[in-house]
Amino acid sequence: MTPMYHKLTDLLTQAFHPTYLHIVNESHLHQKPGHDTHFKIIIVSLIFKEIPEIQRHRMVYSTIGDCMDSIHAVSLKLLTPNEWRDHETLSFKSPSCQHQQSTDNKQPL
Amino acid sequence: MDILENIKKQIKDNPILLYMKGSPDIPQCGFSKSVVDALITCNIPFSFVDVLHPDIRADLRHYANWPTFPQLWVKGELIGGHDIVIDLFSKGELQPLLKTASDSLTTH
Repeated sequence: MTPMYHKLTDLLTQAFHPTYLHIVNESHLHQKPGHDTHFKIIIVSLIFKEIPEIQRHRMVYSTIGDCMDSIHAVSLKLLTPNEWRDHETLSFKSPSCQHQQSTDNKQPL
Repeated sequence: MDILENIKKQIKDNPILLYMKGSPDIPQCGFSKSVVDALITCNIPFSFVDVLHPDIRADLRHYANWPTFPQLWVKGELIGGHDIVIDLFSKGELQPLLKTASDSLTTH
């Protein structure tokens, strides 16, 4: 596991006390071997209860703030335990990059 | 007009506005393409701004308090990025949301 993976794990664990935390480093799918640029993060936490989804995303972005400078893309799935239970067909596929040679390699985000 | 004022005007003037990388016909990012596909499937006209040309990402990121693109704004409010928009779409909630915004435009 990479340093960024561990940093994200630590930050998110401290902030959300997740029932379930799954961080997938998808950077290799984007032709950037060795770089920590693309992540998929699933967090199941009671903290999200009765919080609108956009606010949940803001909470996560705020928590991992510094990391976002070097991460190109992050997919978030943020659920409460009850939502997870109801979410039996958890389809959560990140889109692939387009034209990444012309743009994505220049700057993050 | 400076960039920030221009962003505010764009959001104010366009009830359904997508800030994206590239354009709907030539998206420059898979996340932007995916959201465009969802919007077009909803069959309601939307406006778009390419955040790469000119590069307004830093200003928009700061103004929106949202670090990633694409961003969908409806009636002056940030709905969310790729994950939220696709989630709304898959739940059948995106089309009604866009239709409400579109209808409010035509009644004025």
